[in-house]
Amino acid sequence: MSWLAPLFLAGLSAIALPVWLHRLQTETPKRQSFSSAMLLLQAERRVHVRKRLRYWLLLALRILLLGLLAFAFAKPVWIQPPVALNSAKSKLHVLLLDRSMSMQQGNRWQAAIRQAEAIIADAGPFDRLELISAGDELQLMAGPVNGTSDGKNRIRSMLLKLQAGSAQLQYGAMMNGLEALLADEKQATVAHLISDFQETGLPVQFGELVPRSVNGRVTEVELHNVASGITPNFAVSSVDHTGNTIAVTVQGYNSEAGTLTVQLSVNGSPRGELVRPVPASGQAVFEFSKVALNTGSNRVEARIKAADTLVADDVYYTVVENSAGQPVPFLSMNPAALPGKYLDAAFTAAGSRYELKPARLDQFDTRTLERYRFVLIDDLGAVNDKLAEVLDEYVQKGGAVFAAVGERSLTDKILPLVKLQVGTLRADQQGERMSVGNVDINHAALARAAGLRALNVTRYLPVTPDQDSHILVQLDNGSPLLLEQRRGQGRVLLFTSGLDNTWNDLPVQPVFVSFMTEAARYLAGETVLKREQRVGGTLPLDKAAAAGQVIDPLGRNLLSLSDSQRARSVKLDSQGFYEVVTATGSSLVAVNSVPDESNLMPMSKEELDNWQSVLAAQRQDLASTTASSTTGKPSGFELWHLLLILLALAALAESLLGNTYVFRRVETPT
Amino acid sequence: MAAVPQSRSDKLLQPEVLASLSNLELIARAAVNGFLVGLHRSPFFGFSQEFAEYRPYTEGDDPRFIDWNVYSRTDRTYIKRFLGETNSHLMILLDASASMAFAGEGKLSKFRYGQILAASLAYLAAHQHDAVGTLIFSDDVREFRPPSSRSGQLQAILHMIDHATAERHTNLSAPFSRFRDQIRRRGMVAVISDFYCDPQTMLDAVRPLAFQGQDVILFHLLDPQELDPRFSESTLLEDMETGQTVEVSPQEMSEQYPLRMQAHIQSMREAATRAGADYVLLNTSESLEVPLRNYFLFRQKRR
Repeated sequence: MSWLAPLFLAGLSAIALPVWLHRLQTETPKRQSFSSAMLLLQAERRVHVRKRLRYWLLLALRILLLGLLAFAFAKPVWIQPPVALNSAKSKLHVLLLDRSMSMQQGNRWQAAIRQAEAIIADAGPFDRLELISAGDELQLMAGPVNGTSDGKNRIRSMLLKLQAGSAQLQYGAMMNGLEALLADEKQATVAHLISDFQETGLPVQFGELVPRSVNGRVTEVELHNVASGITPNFAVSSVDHTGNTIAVTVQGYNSEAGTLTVQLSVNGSPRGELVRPVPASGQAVFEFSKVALNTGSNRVEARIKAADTLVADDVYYTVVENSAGQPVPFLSMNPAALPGKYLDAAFTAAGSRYELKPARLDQFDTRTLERYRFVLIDDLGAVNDKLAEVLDEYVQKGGAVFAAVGERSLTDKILPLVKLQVGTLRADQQGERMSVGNVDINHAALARAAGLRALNVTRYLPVTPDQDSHILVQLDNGSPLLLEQRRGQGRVLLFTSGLDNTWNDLPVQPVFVSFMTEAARYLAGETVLKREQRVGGTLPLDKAAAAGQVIDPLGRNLLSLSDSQRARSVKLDSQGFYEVVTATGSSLVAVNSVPDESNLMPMSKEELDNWQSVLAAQRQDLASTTASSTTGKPSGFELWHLLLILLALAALAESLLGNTYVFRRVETPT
Repeated sequence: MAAVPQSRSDKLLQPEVLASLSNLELIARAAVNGFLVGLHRSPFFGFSQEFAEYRPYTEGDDPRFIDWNVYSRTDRTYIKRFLGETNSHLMILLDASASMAFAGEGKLSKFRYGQILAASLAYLAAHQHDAVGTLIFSDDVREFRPPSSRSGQLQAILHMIDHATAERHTNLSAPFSRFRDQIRRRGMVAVISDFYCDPQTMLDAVRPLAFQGQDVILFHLLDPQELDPRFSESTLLEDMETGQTVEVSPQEMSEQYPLRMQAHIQSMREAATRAGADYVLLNTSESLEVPLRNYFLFRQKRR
């Protein structure tokens, strides 16, 4: 605490005044013999005690009054020392335990546990302890608890339950996370980072390794290395397939040349082994040909036989699709015309699972409609009323239609199926072509259709959208080029131009393939999933498509019933196959370890020494700063407002007490 | 209005006048004579040698009281008895505790007043041929002379009273208990005290006397300064018995203390009534006629 006007403290000498006055009042008055004090004492004994107390209370109040007055004028300021300068002997010990995949190597995890237990044992009873798991994110596992035996046991109990994970640890990101996690902590904090200090975990900028001041407080960091030397390692870095040939790539890290055996299994059944030489710290490809695959999604697992000291990355998971194309009816008055050819070429080029099935509009067996996920129509104007009615019923029940317009639509005032008003054909004037003005690339059907902006349109039918319609692609003049109309549980994508290259050049644009592929997936209700991911990634859950279940590699359902409606993503923290089950089917996602974690090369001695020396210097700065208490940015607040309130209260109490005070005293002879 | 001149007898009964006399016997005689002179003009029928009855002379009777006229006529010896001649015993208990030494305005202390009253009662009793005795007490019996009507008893009692001093504190229980043990015969007991004690304590001390057949009269002596204290400034009052001091304000003493004193007096009066005793409150500034008259009535009532 400091004083802004310390000279006013001299006012404290005024306290002598009430003391002197009270001493005057306590002087013995005229003494006189009286026959008996019996009648005086009987009634007044209690009062005397109270009066006596009041007397001293009154003196105390008067002293307090003057003291507060002097203090208030002296303007005290409460200086709160910078938190970083916290000189308290007790500290918060944060056990920052590296749980990245590399910690699974050899005895690193056991060494880390021993190191953590040693730190726990060293903590004093007034210290506090906290256990944080460090992987691709920081997770508070236990604490903070007091450094008592109970507290220590709680931390130890949680410590022994932990295992090394499969994620990657980036030290720079970890430091940022630590600062955020401890931002509200007021106590002096020591973070004990227990790690194998992989070189691949180093940030681009060395400065990220040094904790920064947060709210005037800096976390002290101590490094505890549990790795020693350079450890060779092999890992399956990728698995690729072409047709029924599967190529497995093995990467050696700090390894000597040697021979490795790789096993391949599909859906849990072995499909063979291959032995290949692997160069020193190099790659080798193990190619399995004529691999028998089941129809549909196959769980392919490639594993290095004769595992090394880090087993987690000796296996690689991937999903291989092996399914016959799904038929998609293409309804046209002339199925052999250009639109059909363009669409077929697009699906084939994209390797899509959809297979175009051309049919004449007037000969299409509508009874088979329920078999198809969606239907393609090249000229909606050619659809008669009966077919329109059937298609409408199909869409209402959850089906989907992609329709374009053509010559037969020109005479319609109302387009069949979508029942939208249509104007007269708009053609380019004097050779001027209309271009695309706006593309809603956030829409799932247009995720890869940004190239539509390069489209040249010469003719289109102006369609007036209704309240159920949503314009996805708009021409420069504001007219819709592609719109979506939701009808019941289904949807219709209406392209207001033709699918041949006479009204526009879409079929010959590169974007046509991706546009039609994504549109087909969207209309089929497929979720856009990355089939291969790394540990630490997230699995986005499309609200519309994936409101179902996610089953992790251990067979656990990760989503509760309420989560299945609300969750937007799922964290992938285990290697293996995740199965996403939705209303329209199930999909597999293969999750593998992060390649950087396979490289067990530790930080160089120079790098580690440099890091430690920087941290040591920071600790030294903290210690000297604490000792001198001259640096840092102290925060303070003035107390005189509070003193004035107390002063008013004391004055009130003094007045009340002084008024009720009756001078009376009892002395008992000794 | 012109002041009414006091008669000689009234003057004799004024405490200040009596106190100016040095000899206690003289004081007592002056007081009693003054009282008896005043009695002739009082509405009461008075105290005189009025005939009451004859009774046969028995051995041991004083031959001076044989009515020789009756003997001459009847050849029988009869004793002539008069009113007021009952051969009673009067025991005077005088409180000589330190509180009795209080003299409010410094004129006449309660103890001196008590001494005069005790002497006057003794003189009056002797004058009526009553056996009279005295007990002087404070926290215990300090002097005791059993009742007797022999010649010289009065002088001895007056000497004992005159030489007593007020000291120590009041305790009724022990002296009264001892007194009961010493006195077996029924009689009158006059207690002269300022009664600074719990009324219940007084009741417990006096009631056994009444059960014993004694007729008790309590003379409660209080100084005017005790009844209505007047202080001009805050004063440290020192208890004369315990030495304890209490600092009091004038306002407190003029407003609240008299109320407490009146309550105390009332309690004592009620306790005396419950004990079957007469209670006479005496202001030491007032004439001795009041206590003597009360004693006279008390004796008349008993007879």
